[in-house]
Amino acid sequence: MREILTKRWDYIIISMNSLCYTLAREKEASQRMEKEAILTVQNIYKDFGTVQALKDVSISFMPGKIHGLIGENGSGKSTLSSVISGIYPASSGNMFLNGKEYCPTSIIEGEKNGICMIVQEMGTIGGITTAANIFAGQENLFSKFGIVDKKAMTKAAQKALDDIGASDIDAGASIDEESFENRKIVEIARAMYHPVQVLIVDETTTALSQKGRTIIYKIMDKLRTEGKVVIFISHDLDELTEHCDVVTILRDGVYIDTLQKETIMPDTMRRLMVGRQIEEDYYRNDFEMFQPGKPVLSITGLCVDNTLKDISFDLHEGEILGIGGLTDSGMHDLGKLVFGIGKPDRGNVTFCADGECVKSPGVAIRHKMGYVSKNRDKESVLNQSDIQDNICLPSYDKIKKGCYISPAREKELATQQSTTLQIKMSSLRQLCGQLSGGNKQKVALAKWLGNDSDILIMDCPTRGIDVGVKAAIYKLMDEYRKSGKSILMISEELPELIGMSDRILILKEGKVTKEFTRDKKLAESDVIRHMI
Amino acid sequence: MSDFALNKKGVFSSDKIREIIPFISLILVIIFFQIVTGGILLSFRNLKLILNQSFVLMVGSVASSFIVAQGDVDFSMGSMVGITAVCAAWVSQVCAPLALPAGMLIGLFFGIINGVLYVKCRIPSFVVTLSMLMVLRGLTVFISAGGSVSVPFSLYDWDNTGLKLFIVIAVILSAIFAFNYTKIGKWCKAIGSGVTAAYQSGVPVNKMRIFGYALSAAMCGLCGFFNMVRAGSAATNTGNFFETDVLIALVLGGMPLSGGSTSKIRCAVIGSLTLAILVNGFACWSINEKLQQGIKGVIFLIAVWLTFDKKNNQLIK
Repeated sequence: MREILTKRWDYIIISMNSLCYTLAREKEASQRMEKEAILTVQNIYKDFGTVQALKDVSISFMPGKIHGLIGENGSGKSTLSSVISGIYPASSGNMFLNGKEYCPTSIIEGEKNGICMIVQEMGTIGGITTAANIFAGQENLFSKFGIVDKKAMTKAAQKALDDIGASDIDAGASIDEESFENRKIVEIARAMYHPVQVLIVDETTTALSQKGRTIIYKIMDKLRTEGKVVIFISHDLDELTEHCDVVTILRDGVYIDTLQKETIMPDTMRRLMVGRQIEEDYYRNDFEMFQPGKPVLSITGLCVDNTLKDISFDLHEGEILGIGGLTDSGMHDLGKLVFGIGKPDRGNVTFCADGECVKSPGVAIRHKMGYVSKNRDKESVLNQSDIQDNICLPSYDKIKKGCYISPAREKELATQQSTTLQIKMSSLRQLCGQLSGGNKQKVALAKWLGNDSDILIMDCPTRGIDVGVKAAIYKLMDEYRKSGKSILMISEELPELIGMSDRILILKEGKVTKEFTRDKKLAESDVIRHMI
Repeated sequence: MSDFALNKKGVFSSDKIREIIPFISLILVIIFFQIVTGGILLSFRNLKLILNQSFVLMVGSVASSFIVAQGDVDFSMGSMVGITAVCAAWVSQVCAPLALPAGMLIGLFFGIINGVLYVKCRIPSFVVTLSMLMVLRGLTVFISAGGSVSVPFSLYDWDNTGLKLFIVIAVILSAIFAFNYTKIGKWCKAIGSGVTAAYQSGVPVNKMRIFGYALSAAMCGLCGFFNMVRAGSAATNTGNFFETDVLIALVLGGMPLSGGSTSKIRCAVIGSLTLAILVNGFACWSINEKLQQGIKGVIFLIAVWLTFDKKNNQLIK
């Protein structure tokens, strides 16, 4: 009996020892990991009221790597980068920077620790000079006895711009004179002025043309050779495949997987992001000759000083008419004019049914036209109103009885539209501003579908939207077209134009330079030739 | 399960607390003054007095809710009350029954001018209405020749508590209806939430802005008339500081001065009641009248501090 007990005791001691050994080894390994990683986030949770944006996310960011962060809209990428850069704190969880605990309370503190971020939406301050923007919050670098030496500041700013290869931007001029793109570059210069350990690029490249992108890529490569970390957020899977060493996928705020260099492939990423297989080609797959129906909208001789020159075309029943060109080709203004926003110097937009001219959005809406702006947050949804109010806004004439608008009918309309479009939300009373970009776009569409619109003008319908919602929107457009309704689609993305349109008009410097009809063989290079 | 937990948490979120504060402060104010005045506050005679005092304020703040919901403020209300009162008094000397419609029409006229200057000439609304405040005050002094204009005795019957109670209830109910269940209110709130997006969704922004100022001014005409019959005359200082009182009332009631979807008529009603009871309570408590203006200022500051959502940065657009 005693013998057995001793034996057992020995056994227990031995197993305890081995357990301790394993634990110690694991601890050692994890310490080594932490030593290696510049930045580690551990078990991060973040909620906004009732919305859980991040759930138990842990990632290590290794030196000398460009670390891609991908996921659908609302998957928590931007939230995670905001937590890292100090814009807002996590609800729980830890972060370690170079092995030391790191919990920034503000973006300034993040910057002091060498964590810089270039954000998705506009991040410059209007009304002051470019130099003042680059050194906003750091004026004391140039101040003596409280007076800022503007000359020295402008000089340093110009040098910062030259360093990143943007010497064409004048540091002394007002920021308002710069284009959207140049303002982004100014932000980059600002981020790069201080020694950077971790650079976060949050969907910046979507807003930029080739010039801006080249600048960003160059900076990213430079940081990689210096052994720093770049966290790169983008929806463009090809871009990610080309530039990233590591890619982490998030879905619904949860960590899904991390891919290393060899395994980074658009297909794999797409599958992991959405959690199901998405066909490679989510555009329309019919290529039969389009038989135009009756014209519904006729645009004749539209002229606006400097931006549009004598534009004429018809939009037909059941047609998706694509309009392509460079950002400043005037196509965005064209979309607005067709909807009655602003006045053309000459020319008309007329409804073919009754010959009435579009003079204001009110007239356009009465004729069942809808417009989804490129500028989602300022123009297409009311961020401070809830989803129901947003969806019902253009349809009050449809649901009112006499002058009474019944809450029940409002709710019915909103429920119906949000279910059809599968808007991800906590309730119809959730504020639109809390939704992700893709879901906001769905709300903007729900608005017009709810009003039974027959003509939709969509300006960059999938700008900054992930593949899942993108596919849903394309499918919706296809069904819309098949039911005999018409879409005027203005887009900066060539694959989208070629893949979805029955006809494509190319605009260059305010003039229509070319018209393409739907063709499987149409190549992007053919289209680009007429744009520039 | 987790949804339930989150909802429960939501009940006590800061937004909800901000919504309840006006209610609580109204009740606290009532309890406080009921105690310090030894029960005089809630006596029938005093309640009647409170109604008479708060009537004009209540009508004014409910009417201006439509413009405040759009994110604009009407600073010209005080002088608007002044000029309409004096004009109504002139008219009443010729034909008494026409005094009320005349006051409201004159208000409407100046209100439309406010709106048109704002919309067509693109002058910021607070500049337009502040200028109008001075212009109309000057005009009032000029046409009343610096003195006061008296009212015929036949109009004294209009200073009737029952009538005022009826009007105030009618105004509140129709405002609640228009604000929540018709296009007018929905559009006003949409403009406050985002002008551009509202315009692109078919909201006739310019018309709604003119409408807002016209409504606010026309109701100032009503206020001017009742001010006049209560005082028995219209003087150059009739309606002084009315615009600030309305503003304080709205803020006390929790109305966001930046407008938008959280605007509610309830805020105007509760705020006016709170302010009226405060003023009445101070009088019953025999606080020096000269001190009251200062106390109002302090209350305004505290109310903004407590109810204003600091995260949504701007107070006035």
